[in-house]
Amino acid sequence: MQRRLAQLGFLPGNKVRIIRAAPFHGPLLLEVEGREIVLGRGVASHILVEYI
Amino acid sequence: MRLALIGQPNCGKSTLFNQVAGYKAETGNFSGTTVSFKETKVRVLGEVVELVDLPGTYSLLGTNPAERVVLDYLIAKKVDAVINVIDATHLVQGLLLTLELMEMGRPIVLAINMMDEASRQGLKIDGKKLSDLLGIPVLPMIATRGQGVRETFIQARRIVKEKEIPQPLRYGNEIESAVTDLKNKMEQGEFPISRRAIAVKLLEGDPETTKLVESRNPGMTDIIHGHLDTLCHHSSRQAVWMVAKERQKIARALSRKISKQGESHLSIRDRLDDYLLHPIFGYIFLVVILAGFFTIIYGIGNWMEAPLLGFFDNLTDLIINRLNVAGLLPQLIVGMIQGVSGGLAIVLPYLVPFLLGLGFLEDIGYLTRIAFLADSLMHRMGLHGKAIVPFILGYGCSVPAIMSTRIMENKRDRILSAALVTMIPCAARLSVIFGLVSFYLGPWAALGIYFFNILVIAITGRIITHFIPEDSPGLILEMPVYRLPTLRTVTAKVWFRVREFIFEAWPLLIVGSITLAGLNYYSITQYLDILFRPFTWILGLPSKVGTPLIFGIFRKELSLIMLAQALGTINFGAVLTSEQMISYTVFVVFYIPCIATMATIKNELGTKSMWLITGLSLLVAILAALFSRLLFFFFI
Repeated sequence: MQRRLAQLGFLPGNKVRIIRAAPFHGPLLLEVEGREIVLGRGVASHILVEYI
Repeated sequence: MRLALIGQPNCGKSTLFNQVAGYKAETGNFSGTTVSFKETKVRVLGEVVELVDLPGTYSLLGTNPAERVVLDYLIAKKVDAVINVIDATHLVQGLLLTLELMEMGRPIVLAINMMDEASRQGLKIDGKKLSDLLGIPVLPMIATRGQGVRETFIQARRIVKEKEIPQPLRYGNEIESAVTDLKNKMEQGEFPISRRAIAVKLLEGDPETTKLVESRNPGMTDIIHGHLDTLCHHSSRQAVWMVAKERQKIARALSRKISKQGESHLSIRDRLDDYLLHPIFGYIFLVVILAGFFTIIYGIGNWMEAPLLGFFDNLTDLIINRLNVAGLLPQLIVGMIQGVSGGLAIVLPYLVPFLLGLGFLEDIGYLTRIAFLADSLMHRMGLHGKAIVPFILGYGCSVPAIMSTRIMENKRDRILSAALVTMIPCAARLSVIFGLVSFYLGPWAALGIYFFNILVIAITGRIITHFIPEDSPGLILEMPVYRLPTLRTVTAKVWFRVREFIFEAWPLLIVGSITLAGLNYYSITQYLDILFRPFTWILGLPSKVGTPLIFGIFRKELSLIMLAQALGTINFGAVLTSEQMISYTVFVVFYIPCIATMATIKNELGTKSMWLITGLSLLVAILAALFSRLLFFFFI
């Protein structure tokens, strides 16, 4: 899982922006490294971020 | 000479492949359309070259079965050169894979695809400079229009001839020293990929490579772990992240040097998602788009079906009267005409517009948006939003749909989605729904069947999930930008599937129809009907429909076309009540997957899964058809 996220650009130090969230506890649409990635909440909750 | 196309998902590898190979690979604007490799032969400057299209992969780590194929292929087969396709609008991400590929020790040519898209976004890319920096040929390309394709192949041929092995880029000192040490301590034999690449893969913790190295030299286990620990200790980060981070640094620096961001012209397309993915309007648009989609199919199909059917009815009468003989021959001729007319009047009028519409939605990039919107719904069935890809492909044909379950990471998800996907009415079953229900009972009844179908699938998924709980990590998906599909790629895609129907299914339909006429003439069908009587009895259907149901296992279209043969008329309204039509159609939609689908399940997931899914589909079919009868009984 870590390796998979790393491939998509979720690496320590990279910036992530939440573009939108699907209703009913649906997935998040994130922007990371200039790409739009959809992450389910389960996965997203395991990513530690610092609010900037 | 063998060339391999490698690139990240949705960068246009398959589009490029189709440009040179004729239409042989499926394309679409979402990740994971190609799940296994396809090979073809192409001619470059008079020389025949083998070209292979590999599934899209973000890196060579292979974290799902489709991506695994890429590294496995590079290891197992002799690839003379790699054609690395990257998306011009995602340079940094694309270059990450390029850097990784350059380590493999194979000649490589870089094709920067979607240059048109990049210039629309105001992005200027200096390919010449990139070529100088990387030391490999770099070519701009617009694969959808065939621009730059020829030049890329000529370059690929040249680098194979001149054995231009790229110089791999250097990492930071910590990683470099670990790589060098691993390289030296590895067993001295031949490896299928460069020793440097293997050393890096070891640091990244790739399980297959680690196994390969350890099997040759068991002493390596401790050495590898030693390096991993040291690296982790120094930076408090795992080695796989350090490697990725360094590649990212290099890729970013490269991208900065070679690209300039001008003014973007994308405002309308960017804002589109504000509406189409809106928490409320998004779903309204989804329903409107899908409803519009089906209305159009119904409209076109219906408009063509009636006159065509009338024409064939008249033709049949004419021939029977002309021949004026009794016996087997006229029966067989009628059977043949019914086979021909079934394909032309009932299947094609719906199939072609359906595939056109699906191809359009696929290429424009809307399917991934559906996955985003449907994720929470899919979780209720015990699957995540990615499973929507096989589901939507399933409306075309179950076979590619089941293959596409490879994009899912674990086996439980694959089996469950394969089981549910077989119950989705494919284009063949669409002809039954439209040809029978929609034609005689109206479009709303057909739409009702579709909704009922989704409901039943959801309930089935829910029940199975109750017994085998979901343990998948959830949705990870890349959202593609909206792209205007070119007429060429959409029509090519439609033709790809229509051709399959015309040359593979249709002859079978005609032969089947003639066979059935013969069986009918000698009254053999009644024995087949007895075999299926338990089912037809439960469903309240005339026993004669048993034979079409059996033939339907071979090809789903047969269950409609043979129905004409079995009932002796193509005017079903006269011989079947509405209730019977509904319960027959519901049963056909769910029961036993066709032979081709079963074979695919067996290949992909094993014999046990195949029988399990077949049994499940039969059970669900009976229950669903009974339920539809019950609905009829109480409400109509």
